[in-house]
Amino acid sequence: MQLLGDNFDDSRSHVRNEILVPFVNETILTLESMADLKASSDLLTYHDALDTFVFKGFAVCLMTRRLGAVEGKIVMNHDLTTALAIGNRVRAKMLGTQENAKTLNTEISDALAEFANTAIGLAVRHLSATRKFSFGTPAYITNQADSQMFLEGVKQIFTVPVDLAIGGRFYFSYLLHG
Amino acid sequence: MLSQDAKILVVDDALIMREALRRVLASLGYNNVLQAEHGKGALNVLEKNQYQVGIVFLDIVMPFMDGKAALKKIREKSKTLPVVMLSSVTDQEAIDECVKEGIVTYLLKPVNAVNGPALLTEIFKKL
Repeated sequence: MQLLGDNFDDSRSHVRNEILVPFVNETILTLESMADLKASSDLLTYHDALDTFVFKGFAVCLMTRRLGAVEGKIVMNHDLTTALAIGNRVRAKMLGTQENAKTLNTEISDALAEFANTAIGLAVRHLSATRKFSFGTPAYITNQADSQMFLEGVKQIFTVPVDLAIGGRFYFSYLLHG
Repeated sequence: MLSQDAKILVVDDALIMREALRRVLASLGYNNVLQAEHGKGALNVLEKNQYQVGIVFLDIVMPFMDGKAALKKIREKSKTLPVVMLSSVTDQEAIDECVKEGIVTYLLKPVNAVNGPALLTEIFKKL
């Protein structure tokens, strides 16, 4: 089944509207509820080059199946700065503490994982309700050396940025398999 | 109202969620908090304490044994132990399943330092 047309704009709007938008929207809502952080996205979707795409400091990767067949992977991709900003704010709100971690330690990684699990869980529920999609278990990538195995079989990458009001940007990418 | 001497079991695979609940409970004067990372761990803790626990906070989605399976096992041993389910999403099917097994209520995560004290106080008033 040809899920995405040859026309780039058709493919891009399809991936954006059907897959990326629910993840972006739920993540923006979760940032506010779990971290008191405002964020926005203009939902402008661009094509990332396969040979230059990298997993940044903290990424969450989720296998996507459509009608039972692997179609691709959703990636929430943070550089170290946004990972720390979000991780510190999530910990501060959940624990009622002052947090100012400068490195991606176990505590910050755990807070980011809880944040990502919540946002992804909400988006997955939304998409699963269509009965077209099903999802694997989230994998957390903090070591760039692990990136290559997640790129195996990937043919195209579509990316949408999300901007934090306090500054900084992270990305949702859809890694489309052949 | 739940006695402040009561043992309280918090079951969640996320350390930060267990820690957040522990801190909220401590702020309400409940310092006897037991923890487990998954359903199997929860059953071990309950066995060790001969099911003499005041309330269990049980996450639904966990590795090894999830909250729904753990709740069923708990009900085989105790029909009356108060259990509160924790969930990140409103999964009505899962919640209905848990309600049939008998739960106090369910809490939609995140439970944090801001909303936690009021949420837990309301629950403890029901016990």
